[in-house]
Amino acid sequence: MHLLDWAVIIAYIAWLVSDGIKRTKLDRTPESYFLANRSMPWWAVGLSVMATQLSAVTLVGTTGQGYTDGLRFVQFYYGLPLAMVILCATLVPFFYRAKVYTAYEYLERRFDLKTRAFTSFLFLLSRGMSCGAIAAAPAVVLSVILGWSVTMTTLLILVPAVIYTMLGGVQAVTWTDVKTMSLTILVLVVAMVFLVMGLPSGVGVDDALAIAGGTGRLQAFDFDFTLTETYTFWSGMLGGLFLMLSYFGCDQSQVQRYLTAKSVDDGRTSLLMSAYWKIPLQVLVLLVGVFTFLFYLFNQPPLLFNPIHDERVRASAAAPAYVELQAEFQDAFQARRRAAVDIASARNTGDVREQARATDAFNGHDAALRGVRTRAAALVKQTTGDASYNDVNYVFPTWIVTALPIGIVGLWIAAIITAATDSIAAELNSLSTASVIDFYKRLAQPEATDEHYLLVSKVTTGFWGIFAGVVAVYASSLGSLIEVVNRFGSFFYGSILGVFMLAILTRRATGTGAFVGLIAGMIAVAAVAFGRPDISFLWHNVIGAAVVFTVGLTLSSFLQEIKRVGDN
Amino acid sequence: MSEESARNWTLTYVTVILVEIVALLALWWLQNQFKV
Repeated sequence: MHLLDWAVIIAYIAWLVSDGIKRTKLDRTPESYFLANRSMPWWAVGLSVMATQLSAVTLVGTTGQGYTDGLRFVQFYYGLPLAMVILCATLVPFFYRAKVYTAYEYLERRFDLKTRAFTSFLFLLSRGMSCGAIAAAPAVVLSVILGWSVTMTTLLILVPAVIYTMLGGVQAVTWTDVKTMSLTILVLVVAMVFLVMGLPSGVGVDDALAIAGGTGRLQAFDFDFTLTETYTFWSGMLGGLFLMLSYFGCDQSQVQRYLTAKSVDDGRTSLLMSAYWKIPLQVLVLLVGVFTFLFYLFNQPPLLFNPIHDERVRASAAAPAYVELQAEFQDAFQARRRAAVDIASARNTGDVREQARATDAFNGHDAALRGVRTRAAALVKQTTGDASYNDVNYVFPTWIVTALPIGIVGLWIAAIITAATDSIAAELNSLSTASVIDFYKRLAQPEATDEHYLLVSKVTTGFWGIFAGVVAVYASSLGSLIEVVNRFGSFFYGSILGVFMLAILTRRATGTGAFVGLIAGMIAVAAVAFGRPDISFLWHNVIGAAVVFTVGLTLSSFLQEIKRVGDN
Repeated sequence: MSEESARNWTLTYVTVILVEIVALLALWWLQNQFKV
C-alpha cells in the first residue's frame, strides 16, 4: 500500500478517537457513562444502532457473498422492519418507563433476580466471545492484505475501541458510530462508481445486470419452504423476525444504543431508521459484491484471492500442477469474457434467442472456470492442510488494493478497520454495563459512590477489551472456531426472546416458570443443533422462543394452581 | 400515550410496512427484469 493510504488510515483513526473523546460530556455518573444522561439525538442513536450491527464482516464477508451468491443473502433481513415495528410498540416503551440501564434489569422487576442474573450472564458469555470473533475475522483478512501479523491487526482494531470506550463511554461510542456509518456509505457508493466505470466500453450497466441475472446473482427471493436452506424468504421472514426481535430487543449491545435517546419517541424513531434503511443498505453491499464479480469477468482475476496461499502453493511440490492450472484458468477466463461480451452484443441487437444462447455458453464457461478454481483450492488444502480453505473473504479486499486509486484504498481500509472497531466498542460498552449494573452494583457493592462505579466501569471496559483480544488471537489461529462462536450465540438468542415474551405478553408467567422455560429452550435448541445440524440456525430462534414461552407459561400455570390448592 | 400520539405511531408503523413492501417489489422487479 502507498504511503498516502497509510496516512489516510492513521489520520482517520486518530480523528475518530480524539473527536469521540472530545465530544463526550461526562458528569462523573454511571448514567452519563452508560446512557449519556438519556440526551442523545435520535438520528445519532439511529446511526449508532446501524453501525453496531454493521461490522467489518459486512464489508468484507457480505461483499464476498454478493460475489459468489448474489443478492440471496438479503432475505436474511426481510423480517427486520416488522421486528422493529413490534419492538417499538412493545418492549421499547417498557424499557423507557422502567428507567433501566440494562434489558435484564427489567426481568428482575417482572420476575426475579435469578432470571435477570442468568440472562445477563448468557449475554456476557456470548457477547464476550463474539466480540473476539468480530475482531478476529477482519484481523485475519487484513493481516494477509497488509502483510502484518494477526496480533498486530487485532491490536489495530481493538486498541482504538478500548481507548475511546474506556474514556468516553456510550457518548464516544455513539459519535464514532455516526462517523463510521457516514464513511461506510460513502466508500460503498465510491466503490460502486469505480466498479461501474470498470465495465468495458460496449457493456452498459443493464447489460452487466443481465449477465448477473443470467448467473442467478439477482435472485432475491427463494420461496421454497425448507428448513435446511439458510436463506429463503420464509427463513428470513420468520426466523429472521425472531432473530431481529431478540437482537434489537433483548441484546444489551443494541438496547443500550436506544436507551440513550431523549425520549421513548426518539428511541422508537432511531430504531425505525434501521427499519427503513437496512434492506437498501444491505442490497447496496451485495450489489457491490455482484459488480465485483462483473468486474472480474472483464479484468483478469487471480486464480487464488488469498496471496499467502498462492505463495505457499508456488513454493510447494504442487507448483508444477498449479502452473498448469493457471494456464487453464487464463484460457477459461478469456472464453468466459468473450461469452459475456456476446451477451451484451445480443442485448444491443435485441435478439432474445441469441441472448439466451450466449447466456448458456457463458454459464458453461463460468462453470469451467469455477472447476479450475476448485482444483486450485484442492491444491491449497493438500499443501497447507487447511481443509476449510475458502478465499471468498479475500475477493473484495483484493479488488480494493488492486483496482482503486491511491487515497481511496486508504479510505476503504480505514472503513473496514473502524467498522470492526465501532462494533467492538458498542460490545465493550454494553458488556461493561451488564457487568457493573447487573452483577457488581446489584450483588457486590450496592451502596458505593458514583465515582466508584465510574472507575469500575472503565476498568471493566478494559478487562473486556483484553478478553476480546485474547479470544480474537486464539480464534484466528483456529479458523473454524469463529463460526462456532457465532453459532454459539444462536443457542440462546431465541430462548432469551422467549423470556421477554413471557414478561410482556402474559401476566400469569412467574420467575421460576421463566427460568425453567429458559433452560428448556436452550436444551431444545442444542438438541436440534446437534441432532439435526442440517436445519438452518435461523430456525433455532423460532424453536427457542416457542419452547421457552410454552414451557414457561405451562409451568407457571401449574405452580400457581398448586399454590392455589395449597392455600385453600 | 395520548390518543393522537398513538394514532400517529400506528400510521408510522403502517408506513414502515408499506415501504418494506415497495422495497421487496423493487427487488422482485430487479430479479425478473434481468432474468434470461
